[in-house]
Amino acid sequence: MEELFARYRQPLYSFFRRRLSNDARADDLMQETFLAVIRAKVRYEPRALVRTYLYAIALKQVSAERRWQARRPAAAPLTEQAASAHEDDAAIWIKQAISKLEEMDREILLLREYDDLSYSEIAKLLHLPLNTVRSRLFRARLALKNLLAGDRCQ
Amino acid sequence: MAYLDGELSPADAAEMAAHLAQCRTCQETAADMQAVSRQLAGWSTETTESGNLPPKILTGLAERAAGNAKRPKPTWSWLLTHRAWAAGAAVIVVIVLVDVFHPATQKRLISVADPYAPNVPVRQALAQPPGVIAGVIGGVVTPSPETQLLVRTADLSLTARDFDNIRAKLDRIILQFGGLVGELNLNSPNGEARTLNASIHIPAAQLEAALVEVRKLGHVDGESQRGEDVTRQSVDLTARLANLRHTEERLTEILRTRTGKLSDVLEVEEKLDQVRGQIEQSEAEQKALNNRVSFATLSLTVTEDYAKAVSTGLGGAALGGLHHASNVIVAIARAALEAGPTVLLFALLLGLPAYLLWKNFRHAR
Repeated sequence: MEELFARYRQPLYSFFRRRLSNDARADDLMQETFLAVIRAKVRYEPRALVRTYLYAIALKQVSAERRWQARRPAAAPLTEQAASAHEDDAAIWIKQAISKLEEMDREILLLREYDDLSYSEIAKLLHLPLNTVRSRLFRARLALKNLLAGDRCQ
Repeated sequence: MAYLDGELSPADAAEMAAHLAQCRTCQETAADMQAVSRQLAGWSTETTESGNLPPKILTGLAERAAGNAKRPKPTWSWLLTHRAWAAGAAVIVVIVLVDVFHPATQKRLISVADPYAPNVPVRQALAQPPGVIAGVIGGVVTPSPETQLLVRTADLSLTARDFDNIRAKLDRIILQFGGLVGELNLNSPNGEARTLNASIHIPAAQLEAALVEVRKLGHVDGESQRGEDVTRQSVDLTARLANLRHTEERLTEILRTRTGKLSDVLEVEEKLDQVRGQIEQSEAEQKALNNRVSFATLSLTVTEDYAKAVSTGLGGAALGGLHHASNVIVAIARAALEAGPTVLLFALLLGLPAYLLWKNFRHAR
């Protein structure tokens, strides 16, 4: 368990940070993901599947969190949040660009570019055919090329 | 794009590389893709503090360990903690064993199974036939109007303790009284009482004496005797025979004198043949009848006696209840054993793929 934690602590933290507006929750949810693994009665499977398993749980956590936040009107608006000192302009710019993508495309892109999942892993996680993943990724990158290039503040 | 992401197989990747070297459009697209990826890399997130497991996770681990300990393991300790089940099973086994091996139950089984044992002994005493002619044994009976001809039959059911020697004893009696065995059946079914059925012919005069001896072979469960009056039958037969013989004589006489036409002679001869046939028939009947009169028939049934103990009404009812319960248990066990392998087979055939599918489905979710 310790090994699992050490290996995936940072990636999962980043995973949650990128998808949620509320930064504070990222650490909580990351721990929750590991707890879910502990509580599940499933035995540890070979390494390759643990990744998919972990990210599947993480995705579920994200959607649950989003649903929960949607019910609470006091929550901070999704697109804008208090800019933390850690985020520089580039990060904000990229975040904005990505948020303009379609949700599924966005997710595929995030999983590929930041979580380094393979096409087949992404396909399995999102329940999509492999070719769909490929074409949508291509489409998303093309769109981003324009989004990132255009309207750039000097 | 797949090439850039390292998703192509080595062969395809090599192909792609070769193509890229030449194709301008693809080079541009590749450059675009790479640019986007580089730009995206600009968004970095802070590193979280590394080190020991956070307290929440430690708690979770501890909980799971505790949960594992609480879950009952399929070992002997598990069996012991379920004493109730063990006790119940033991009771059932005891019921079945006691019922099967109790001798009183066996006697009950036998007396129910034995169709020959009547509930109440029947005894009909018949007066000795008056004045049976002395020359009965082995001879032809010539009736006179004062005598009565009886065909005597007797039925006797016994329960014998000493079943093994029955056969020998019976043979001795038969020999002693000059009887014959008409038919004999010996049954030794598994786990039940043995039975002997015999049809014995004894000279009518000796019947009573023989019966006395046979009764000593065991305990008499039932007895009955019958005398069929065949005097009239015999008289009729004799008269008929006399008539037929007379007719025969006359016809023979007619043939001897041979007066009349040929056709008449033929007719007479034919008639004579007929009459002779009838005489033979009647003689046979008479002989059979005489046999039946001179030899009485004893139908004997002997049943082996298992019982040592006498069961009272209450005890019998209790044992009967036990017997019923044990029957039910045995029937259930038998049904389970008979159906068991088939159910197991289907469980494997259908259950295994279903389980795999379910697991797969769960994972996909």
